[in-house]
Amino acid sequence: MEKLVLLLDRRWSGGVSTHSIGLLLSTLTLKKLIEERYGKVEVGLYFIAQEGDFSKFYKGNFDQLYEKYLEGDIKEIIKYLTNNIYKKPSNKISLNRLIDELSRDDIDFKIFGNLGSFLFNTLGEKHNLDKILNGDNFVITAHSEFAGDLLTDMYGAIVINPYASKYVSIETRKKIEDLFERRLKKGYTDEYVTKEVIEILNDLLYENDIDSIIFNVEKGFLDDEFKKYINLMSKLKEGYIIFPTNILYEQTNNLLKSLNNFRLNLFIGNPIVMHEPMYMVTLERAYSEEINIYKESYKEIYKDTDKAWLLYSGRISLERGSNELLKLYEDLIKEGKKLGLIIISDNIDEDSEFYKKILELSDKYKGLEVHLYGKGFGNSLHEDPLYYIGLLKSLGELKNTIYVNTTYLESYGLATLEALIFGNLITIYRDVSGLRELKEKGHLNYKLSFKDYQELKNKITEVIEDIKNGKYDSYINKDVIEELKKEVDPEKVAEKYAEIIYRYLESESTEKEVIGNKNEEVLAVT
Amino acid sequence: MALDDVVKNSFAQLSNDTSLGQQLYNAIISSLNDTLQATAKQIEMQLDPKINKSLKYTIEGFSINSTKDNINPSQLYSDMVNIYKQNVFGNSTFSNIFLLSTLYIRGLKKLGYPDPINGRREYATRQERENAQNLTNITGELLAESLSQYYQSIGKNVTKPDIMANIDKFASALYGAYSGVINLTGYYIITKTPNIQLLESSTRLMSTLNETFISTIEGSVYSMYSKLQIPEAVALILGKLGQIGLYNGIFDEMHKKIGSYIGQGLQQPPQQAGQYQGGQQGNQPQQPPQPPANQQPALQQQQARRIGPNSPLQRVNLNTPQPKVIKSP
Repeated sequence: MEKLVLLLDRRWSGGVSTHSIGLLLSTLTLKKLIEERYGKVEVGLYFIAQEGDFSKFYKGNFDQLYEKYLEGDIKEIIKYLTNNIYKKPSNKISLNRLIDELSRDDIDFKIFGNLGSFLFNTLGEKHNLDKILNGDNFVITAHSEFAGDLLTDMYGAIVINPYASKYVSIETRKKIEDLFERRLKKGYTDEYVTKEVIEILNDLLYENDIDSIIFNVEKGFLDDEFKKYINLMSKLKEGYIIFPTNILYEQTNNLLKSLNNFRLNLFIGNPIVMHEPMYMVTLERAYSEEINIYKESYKEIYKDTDKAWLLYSGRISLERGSNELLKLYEDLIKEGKKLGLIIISDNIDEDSEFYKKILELSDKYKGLEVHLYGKGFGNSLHEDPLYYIGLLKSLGELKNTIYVNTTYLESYGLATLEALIFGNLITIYRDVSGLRELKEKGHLNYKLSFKDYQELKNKITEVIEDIKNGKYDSYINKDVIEELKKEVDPEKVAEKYAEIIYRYLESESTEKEVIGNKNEEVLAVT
Repeated sequence: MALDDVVKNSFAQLSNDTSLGQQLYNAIISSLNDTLQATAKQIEMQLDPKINKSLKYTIEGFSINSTKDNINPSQLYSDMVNIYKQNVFGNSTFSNIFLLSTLYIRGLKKLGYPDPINGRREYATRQERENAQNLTNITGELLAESLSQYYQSIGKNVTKPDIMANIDKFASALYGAYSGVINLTGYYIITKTPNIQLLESSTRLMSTLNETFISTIEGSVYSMYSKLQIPEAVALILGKLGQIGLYNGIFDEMHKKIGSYIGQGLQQPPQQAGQYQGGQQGNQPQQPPQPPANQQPALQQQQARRIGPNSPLQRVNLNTPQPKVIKSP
């Protein structure tokens, strides 16, 4: 019997959370695939959850989920994660038990859903990592870009924080601000920014006494986390590390290079670049009839063909470019365009500045119509993603909507791919990092990328005109979308994981066979 | 006549069939009759657009699109139904063969095989897979029997085991032909008008009718098998029911029932963005109208089997989150 373990990090919202659902579905398929080849497979399922300031650990019931998977009850599997059903008190386990169970010798292969699982808790301490990652039988998926995240944190703590000016020198603040702007402008964290970030952090933590005062509270914490990160990176020579895009791999490599300037020898042994599993593909397959009903319902709302719609889905924040989105909408309405704006975001509500700004615009201009969906308004489309798929499909069928992604930083572009796959929507996006890569791979229409605000506005104006003239379909390549959909299907991703595991298990057994043969030879000689 | 009456009459005819034997009838047929009548009652509810919102929108879309194109929706519907009937029930030998092939392929799909036309796979519950195994055994046997009889009637010397050896291939070809019936109705629309929306809504309507029909027959076979777990006996009864026109009768009742709603205007149109604008800022999301509570459960049991347990449909039909709308005054 083969034994696998899966650790999912449920502490974060956004991409990591979405990926953990997809990865669970992929692992359910994976069990089936491996069983077909090797016989019975046992899978241990573990979770990290955030409770207050602490990480807590849970052991899930994979067999129960596998039953549901075989029954086709995909919704229940997803609810197990999203409704925190795994967090039953009886499922709670201690850190030590988690470490013991993840370190067992009889585990054939380990799957970790997030490279960051080992950060912001004590799993990343060297003695724990040595136990957990005690061989090369593991795969870890990277999601975020650590140097970029560090820079964002420093920007928040030192540039935006009004109290920081009392403690941090003008030079350091200016340097961080310049690096932050350079990163936004380039659309990714280049080698120079990475190197500077590491040097500033080194200064703040260990060299510059004056500036480091600001870190009096946080210094120990950051110091610890940074050490854990280096511990973790030192383990990546072995095992397999999955990156959703080449650019994320490149950025991680840049960081390792910068760290190697401090006499370290860090590198990634087996990098693999592949798509993340998109759980909504499985949902769509399993509940197509139900989705159809929602689609028809949303069509009733958006079928006014006289008006085109802009759709934005994601966080409302500076680095997501949401201010530019609103400016774009304002400028187009001002010009008298018949245009609506749909915003799907779980981080705005009636108290947010963004919402107030929309209210101001509605007083100022005629013809404004903004539709908001999100937790803050009690109408989130992500509570039951079938609604979201239904909405995307309705907009796609009505052929009057443009999906706009104004973000400056994107390691993968999951929401953009969802709009493309489920809605076949015209997708306009900034020419940055992960999105640029999707363009280069031919997944996104190369004509629809923009570099700055003026180009965004020109392209949107052109596309609106084309939609009016019935040329919507000229922007959509259904073959590419179908192909992409297959690539992100959790079942397809499971096949890729299976290949990794077969490769590992079969190289192991060859190794054992060689040792066995050698022993036999020795015995024969004796 | 209601659907359960169609079932009742068919079973009344079976009671006079001496080949089944009086003893078998007494023991089994009466209980099957009750089961199938209960199934028929549930199907009737599923065919009620006041309860089945998906059907409601499909019918409304069809009626609106044809009226916009100055085409009488009732007439168009009747034409499409005739095309369907001519192709599916026009030849009594093949109507049975088409249905058996379709049931056989649907069973295979539940067992994990891809659809022979589009290659798609579908999920099936463990219970459905177990039933599907029996269904494919029953329908496979019946299909081979019907096909060998047909070939013998046209002078081709082929035995049932010869057909059974390639049953999947026969069934796939026939299933493909049967599925093409919906495309034929689409072809008919295209010859009348370039209106693609009408084409889409007509195809959707006919697909809904077809799916309801096939799943009813399938459901009946499952219920029959659950009561009488002897494949040979179920096969015998199914064959007899086909011969006495039960399937044709069921289809007639279904299309009439849907036809009676076409062009009626049903209810008031569903909520639109314009209805909750009012020019006011900060409107609260509105809840869409909910079906009367006493109309939900039977339909939900049907849908739950087809669209998975704990579906939001089981809670409230069409409870889709509505946007919070901000509009200029």
